[in-house]
Amino acid sequence: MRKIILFLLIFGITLTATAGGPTYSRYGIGDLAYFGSNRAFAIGVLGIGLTGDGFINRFNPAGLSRISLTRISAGFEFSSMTLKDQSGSTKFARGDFQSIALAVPVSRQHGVVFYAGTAPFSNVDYRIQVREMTYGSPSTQTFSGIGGLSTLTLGLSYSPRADLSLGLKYSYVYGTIEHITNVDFDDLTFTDNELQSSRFHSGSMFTLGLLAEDLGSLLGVPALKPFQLGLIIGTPAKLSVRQENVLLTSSSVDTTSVVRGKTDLPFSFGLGVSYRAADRMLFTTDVFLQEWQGSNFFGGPSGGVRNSARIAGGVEFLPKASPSSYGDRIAYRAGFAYNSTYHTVGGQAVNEWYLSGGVGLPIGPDAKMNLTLQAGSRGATDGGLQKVDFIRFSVSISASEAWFITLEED
Amino acid sequence: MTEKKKISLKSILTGIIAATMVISSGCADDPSPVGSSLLPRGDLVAVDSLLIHASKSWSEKTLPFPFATRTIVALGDSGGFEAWTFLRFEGFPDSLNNATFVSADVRLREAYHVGDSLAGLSFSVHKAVGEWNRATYVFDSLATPGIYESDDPSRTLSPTGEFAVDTAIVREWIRSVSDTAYRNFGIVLEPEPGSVIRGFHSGVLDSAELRPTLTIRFLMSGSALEDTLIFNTVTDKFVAGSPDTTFTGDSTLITIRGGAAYRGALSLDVDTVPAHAAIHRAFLDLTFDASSSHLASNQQRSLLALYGGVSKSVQASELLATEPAVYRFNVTEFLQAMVRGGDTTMWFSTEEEANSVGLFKMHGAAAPNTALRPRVTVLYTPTR
Repeated sequence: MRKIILFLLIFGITLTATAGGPTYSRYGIGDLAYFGSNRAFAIGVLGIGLTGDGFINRFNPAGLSRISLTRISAGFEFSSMTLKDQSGSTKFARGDFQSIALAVPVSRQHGVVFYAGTAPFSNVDYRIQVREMTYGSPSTQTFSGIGGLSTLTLGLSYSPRADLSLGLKYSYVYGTIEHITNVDFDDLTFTDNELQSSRFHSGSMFTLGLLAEDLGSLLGVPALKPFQLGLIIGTPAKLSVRQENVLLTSSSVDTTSVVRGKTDLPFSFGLGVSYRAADRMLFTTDVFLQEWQGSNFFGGPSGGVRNSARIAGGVEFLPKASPSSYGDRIAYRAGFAYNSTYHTVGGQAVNEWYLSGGVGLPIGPDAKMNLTLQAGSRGATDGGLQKVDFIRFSVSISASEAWFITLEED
Repeated sequence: MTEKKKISLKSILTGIIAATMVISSGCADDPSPVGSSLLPRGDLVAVDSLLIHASKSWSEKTLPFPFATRTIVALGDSGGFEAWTFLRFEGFPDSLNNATFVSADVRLREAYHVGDSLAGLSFSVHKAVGEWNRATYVFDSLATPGIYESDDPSRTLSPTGEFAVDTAIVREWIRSVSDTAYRNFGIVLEPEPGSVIRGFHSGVLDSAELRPTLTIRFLMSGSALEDTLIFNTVTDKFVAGSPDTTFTGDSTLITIRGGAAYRGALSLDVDTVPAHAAIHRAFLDLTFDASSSHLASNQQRSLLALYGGVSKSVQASELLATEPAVYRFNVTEFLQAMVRGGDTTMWFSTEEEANSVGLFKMHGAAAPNTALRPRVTVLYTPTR
């Protein structure tokens, strides 16, 4: 088990050496990372309407309430992208840290579970090269960006009654986004230079969650008993941003300016519904909305933004309700997602869809290795957009251990 | 069942590696134009230009030069600019103490001239009576008495660069070798008003043929046979300057001259350049005033622009093929520093400043013809 985790860590870290990605990440705060849990990732959803003992729900804190043993989970994501537009196509691959999370049950009776975790919130990674005639001299201009925002999150769930859970999480959002513009003139009398603009972000936001596990008893409608309903509300946030511009030439490094400002993170709302068809099959869907319209990114909208909407649905099933073999304990997952992203370019909407599938492989008494494959597309090759065909492969480990549990003596 | 599980995990790990290899294969390391259509034109680097005229210009006298860098001693007067030479021959044998001196002649080997090449070079040879410090003695030090005797007659340098020295002075030098009552401070050559300054090879040169020489003809006691000894171990220096320094404040013409030396200076008002601009190119053009310049016969047609606090603090000029002549300097790095709040003054010197007394006059910030004033053409990108 330890060898596997070590192998994945080294493997994941090594892969991050290759970089590059969609140009869309140049705008706003980059590409948003939607990661609800290892389980939900394979189903395609965020997990707003999911709860259970075998995973840590990062998106809806109310979904933590059924965790009975201390659980730790971590994962990496490897992705390959083919970027296309009118000028041609290129490929990039990269590896990213996905998330690490710890959930500690404090009171099983009241569904009190403490949660701590960190995960990427957004990702900026692009490289574009342009040839331009600049004041009579040809120049090669390279635009690149790296970094992104991450969250450090603390959360708590509470179940006032057996079929209803509430949750609250606090997220400290932080991270550096660096945009680099490099100009290389063909004419040697021109001085080449590079402008590095780094924005250091920090701020806080809260997410309130609710999860009704048995809609039938909650609403007094027996037909709704197999349904679960989840809700989340994310508070808007104003991130403090310190922007540092550094101009580099072959002979000098100058900090040209240090400016402070704000970047908005919007109000968000999510709704998820799950339906347990049998003991071994679960259908789930969720929708997540963010009010990006009018958001400021360090003083002004960066490129076009619009309100985003993400809708997804999928299924998880076990071969047998009462597993007797290793194969019986493998969880199979599949789903889809459609994301109307917050980016627009020249009035053109940038939309994304993908299919996902994966397995949860038992690797211990209460541990699983989750493998997920997602394939989809974003944008288009016309309308001045960029089409991004991608394959994502995720590997994560989720395991539990009995901490702080007092065993009663016979 | 356990065996089955182990096999499955191995297969899974192999599958992960294989899948990742497939996913990562064929990836680009270099950036490409793909995605450039998403860049607004405003994000591309667009270069603006502007012209800056010097707000002020003047000239300044520099600090003394390091002795080791001076391979020339200059002597003469041209247009009120004087070059004085100091020579101290050494290495005399005390066996000459009782000799009868017939003559003593100094010979200098010319390296260049400034002014009228045909004009005679008239000067006085003074016996030096005080220590002239190689490092710190400068033109202004001449006003301090006690360094040389000043009642000597004028003489003219021969076409071969020779002049006679009073043998009585030479005898004292020889006696100073063994008798502390005598001192050897050498001689001071004071130029008479004239129209030429000549530069001679100095004693620091390795070539004995080029160094100044002192030739002594003498008769040993009891001998009728005239003998000759030539000495070329010499400590020398020259100081140069103008008694009238009002030209330093002249902003219509910038004086740049080696030897003394006078450096030109000009100030730029860079407020018109956006505060955080990235300077891609800045060319400074200085226009040469041929009518008032007096270049040395071996003068390089090049000047140096000097600026402190940058990595390439010296920029040599390029002589543009224009009439009047324009000396162009790439002052990109200087401008970049100025825009960042650095000193807005730059200085100009001649090449071979320590040795060549050639005079460059460049049109200054207050030149009547504005087209001739110093100007900097700046290409920049405003950064956000």
